Amino acid sequence: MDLELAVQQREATLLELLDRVLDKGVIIAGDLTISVANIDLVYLDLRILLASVDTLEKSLDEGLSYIGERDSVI
Amino acid sequence: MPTYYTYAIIHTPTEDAPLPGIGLGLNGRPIELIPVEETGLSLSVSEWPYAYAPPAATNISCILEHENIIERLMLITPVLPVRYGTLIADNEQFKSYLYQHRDAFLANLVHVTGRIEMGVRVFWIPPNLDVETETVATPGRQYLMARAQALSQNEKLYNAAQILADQICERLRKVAFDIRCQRLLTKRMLLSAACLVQKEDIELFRQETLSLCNVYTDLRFTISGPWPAYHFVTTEEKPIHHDNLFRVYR
Repeated sequence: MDLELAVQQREATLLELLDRVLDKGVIIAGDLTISVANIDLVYLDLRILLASVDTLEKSLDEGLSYIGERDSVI
Repeated sequence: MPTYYTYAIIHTPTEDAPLPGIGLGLNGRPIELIPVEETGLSLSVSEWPYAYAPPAATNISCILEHENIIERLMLITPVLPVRYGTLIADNEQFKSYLYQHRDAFLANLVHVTGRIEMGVRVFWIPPNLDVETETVATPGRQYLMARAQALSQNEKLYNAAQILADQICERLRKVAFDIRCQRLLTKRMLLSAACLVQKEDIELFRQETLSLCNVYTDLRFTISGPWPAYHFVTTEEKPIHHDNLFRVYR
């Protein structure tokens, strides 16, 4: 795998991670949490992130891309 | 009253099956468990010295560390990952919350035990859809006709995507224990699927995705994982099934 592709795949994996960590998982009821990271400010629009995934995908290899194959996170 | 940073909900370890050490938590803080009596559930946390300031959502190294901690936990016990950046202060109130939702959380833990999440995204080039055009006379009529054509095109796109996405979901369903599908999250992203897969079936799942790739040669597939089961946690307040969720791209 050349370096450029490796970097692209790493970025794609990071986007997959952000999609999960910032948008999924258990949400503890608001009045019990004193604060949740100001995700809304970053995660302004799901479509921004998804569009990034979309853009990255175009630059990956043709066919099937294993963008998250890893032993541990990234 | 201490503030805690939260990682995941897990089964409370027993004397027979204590939780082995999993290293340190965020910012090098020890990982502790807050057990909730009579539920069999515990929340894994670290004491958080920064009071009301959670780690920023822009802090990639914190996000990676958060994920890494959950993955280390996942290696030794089923986990329900808590959303990144969640701080709690009132233990008693939290315990009451967990107690109240214990059935849903316990059911979730059973659901994810022995399984991991794999992500599949499918990209397409939306087909050129023929829309009948009509000669128009006035600007107002022209505008309305253009709107009508756009709506018609969206509907055709939706239907074409639905058929294709359903076919792919059916194939994935055969090798997944559970699946969450979303169609057309963007115009090019035909399908985004989160699949709950038996740990021993990961390779089978990859092979099935590869065979789909060979069948649908006009489509592009990406596969990611294994992940903690982020898409498969819920409480009674949030329905678990999103299969019918279909967001039309705007």
